Parts: sequence; structure tokens; C-alpha cells
Amino acid sequence: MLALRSLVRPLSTNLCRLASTAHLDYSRYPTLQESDIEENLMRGSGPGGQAVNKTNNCVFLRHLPTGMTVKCHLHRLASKNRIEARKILLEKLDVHLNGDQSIAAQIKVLDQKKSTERKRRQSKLQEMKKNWQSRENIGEDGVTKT
Amino acid sequence: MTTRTAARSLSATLSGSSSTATTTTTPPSGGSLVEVNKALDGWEQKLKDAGVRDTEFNLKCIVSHVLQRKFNTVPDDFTQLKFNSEQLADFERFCEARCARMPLQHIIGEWDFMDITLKTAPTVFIPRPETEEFVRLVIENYKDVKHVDMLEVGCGSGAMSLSMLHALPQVDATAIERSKAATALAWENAKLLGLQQRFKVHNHTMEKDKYMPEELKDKQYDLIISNPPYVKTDEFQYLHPEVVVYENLNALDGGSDGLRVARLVFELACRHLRPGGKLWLELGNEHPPLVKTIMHLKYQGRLTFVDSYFDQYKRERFVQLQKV
Repeated sequence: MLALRSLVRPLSTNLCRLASTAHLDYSRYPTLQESDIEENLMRGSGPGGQAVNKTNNCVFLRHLPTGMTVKCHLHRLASKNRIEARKILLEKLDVHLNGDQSIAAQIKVLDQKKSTERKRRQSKLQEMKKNWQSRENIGEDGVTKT
Repeated sequence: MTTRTAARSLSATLSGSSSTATTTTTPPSGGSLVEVNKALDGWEQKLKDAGVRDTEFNLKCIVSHVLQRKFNTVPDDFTQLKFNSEQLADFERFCEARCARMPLQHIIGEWDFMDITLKTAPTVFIPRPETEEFVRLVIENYKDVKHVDMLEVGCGSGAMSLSMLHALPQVDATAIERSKAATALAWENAKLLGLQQRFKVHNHTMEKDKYMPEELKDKQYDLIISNPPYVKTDEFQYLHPEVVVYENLNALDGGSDGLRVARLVFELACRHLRPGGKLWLELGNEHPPLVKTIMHLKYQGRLTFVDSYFDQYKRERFVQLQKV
């Protein structure tokens, strides 16, 4: 348990590092308290360890203060899904608490800005091309009109 | 005994090259493609009828393996995925094997353990998820120690030692292992992971008065880890076919109270731990209190019981002992 808690933090800092090109504001990004999480590890009753060879990989998390739930079966290993599920829960929690200040919303705004900028440049280029064509007397087919 | 023989011939079929193993009467029809979702038809029910749980997960593992794709890159609904005729034959062969309760990890030929992927082999014990929690605990305890000479008793596929070495560059590991197949597999895994410089494995069966191989008889270590066989002999009748038919019972059988091999490890630790060195053991459900009693009764002045710990399923299963 202790180890997992320490794993959650480096993961979120990794996230910061990866997104460093985008100027994102992480000041509101929440942290997870292990005591707020109810974890449903699917192992069932009966003996564990060497006596059984079950491969359940699915992890369920419930965030007790908000009632939010997360299910993760992305990886083969439950241990990896436990970490992944906490990552997803943190992102959901961020959206829940911070709305349009959340990291996801910030990224969305940045992406939109990028795409409008791209569109603006494209249309500008088109316009310049058209102007040049009409100035040089070139038709749409690229043949010089004589 | 007949099931065991059948299991063995099945594993021989699986490990054989796919072209020789699929001697079907109808030759594969050129390069025709079959949708994965079509190929899956009926297998879920067949697996369920055979008593396999988590059928969806099993099928996804097999599909990813057949397509040679990473598990987490394959969509759950398999849309747009197709098998060629060779892959389809492999898929059906693997599903058939799973219906015969061959462990998924043997069919796939590899399995993940913490942050590493290990090859598996028939007769070599498959690492369990609880052991990841055990290794995590040991790593947590040694991450700030400058240098660690570690010994593992009974390393199997090498999961514990190799994941320790992978996580902590200051560890040097030596392992002993009684099974020749496991010794070879552990060494192969070490090479695949590029950890062979800090890992040595010796094929040796631990016995009373010959705990270590001759070449290591004077060696001392800072840390000994072990996941010795701890299943009580009585419990064997309740085990799943995956375990009792396909796995090496030497890796499981802990005698009448499950501590037969652990007792040998206690003796080994007395002789080969440096003063203050630690012995970490993964054991069965009822063992930690028992180990505490044994330490009080028989090891005073030699080993002390430090603490016990719970696995991720809240079972008290791990112990830490210290050489006086």
C-alpha cells in the first residue's frame, strides 16, 4: 500500500514533464489519498499465493468522498492496472474539481488554439496564392493564359 | 498420472514449431483472412464449460499473442483485427490447450512481473501476483542501501531476483535453484533483460548439512530472499488443474505444515547471513505466527523475528527475520 502511494506521485510529475511544451497550470491538480480509495481487487476467497494461478487483471476503484468509480483492465497485470487506475481517477477528479481549469480542459483550449491558428495560416496562404495567380495571369490549371 | 502425461504431450505440441504442430488434414487456404471476431465464435462458451474463469481476458491474451501485439494495444472489441490461416490455426490450438486447463502463462510463453517480462517454461513455477507485493516491500526496504549482496533460495524463473536487480542498481544477486529447467530459464531471462552481469544462478538442491553448493560454501550475504514451497501436502487435492497438473510440485510442496523447506532456509540463513543481515520470506496464510514461535523456541541467539506483513489481498503472508 505504502509503495503504491509513493508511486502515484512520480507518475503525476511525469505527466508534467511530458506536457512541458504546453504551458499548463498544475497548481490545482489534486492528490490522491489512499485512505479515500476503496479498492476492489478481484482475487476472491480461498487460499492465495502458490496454491492458485488466477490471472485476474481488472481493478476497480471507488473514490469515497466523490463516489466516482474507475475500472481499469488495460494491462495484463493487476499491479500495473492499480497504478493506471489511480492515474485515471486523478484525471477524473481534476475535471470534477476544477472544471475548465482542469488539465484536460487546458489541453483542449490549447489544441483549439493550435487548430484555429493552423486554419488561419492555411487560408492566408490560399489567398496569397490566388492573388499571385491573378496577378501573373495563371489559370487554375496552371497554364499561362496568353 | 494419465492427465500429467497428456499435459506433457500437450506442452510438447505447443512448444513445437507451428508448421509441424498443425498437421491438419485440410491444407491452409492461401492468404485468406478471417476476422478475429468470427474466429472467437463459440470459444468463450467452450472455455467456460471447461471451468476457465475470466474468459474474456484469457481470449484477449491469446489473440494478442497470436497477432504478436502487445496486450494493451489490442482493442477490447477486436474490430478490424484479422487472422491469416496460420494465425487462425495457432489461435485454435491455444484455445484448445486452455480448455485443457494449461496455464495461460505457459500458452503465451511469457508473463509480466512488476516492470519486467519473463519467459515461462513448462515445469517452471509461474510467479504469482502476491510475490510482486513481496518484492515491492523488499525493494522499499533496500532502495537507500549502498550495496547489497543478495541470495535467493529457489529462484524459479528468476522473477524475484531479476525484478530486484532491475529496480536497484546497487544489488548483486546470487541464486540457487534445484530444477535444471528453472536454472536454465532464470539465466536465459537474466540475459534477455541484460542483467547477467549482476546475476549468478547455481543448480543446487538444498539439503541438511549441504545447504549451499561447494563453490559458495564460505559466502556470506546481506540479504536472503525466498519464496519456498509452502503449500501443505493435504491441500493438494483442492488445487486447480492449472496448478496441480501443469506446475512443478517441487515448487509447491511444503510438507505437512508447509514449512519443510522454510526450515532448511532458516538453517541456511544462520550460516550464510552476515550479522544483522535479513531473511525475507513469502509464506502461506497461517505461517507468520508459526514462524514467530519457531524463532522463539529454536533460534534464540541466531535468528530473530522482526515483523510480518500483509499481501495486497490483506493476508498476512510475509516475514522479515534478522541474523543476530
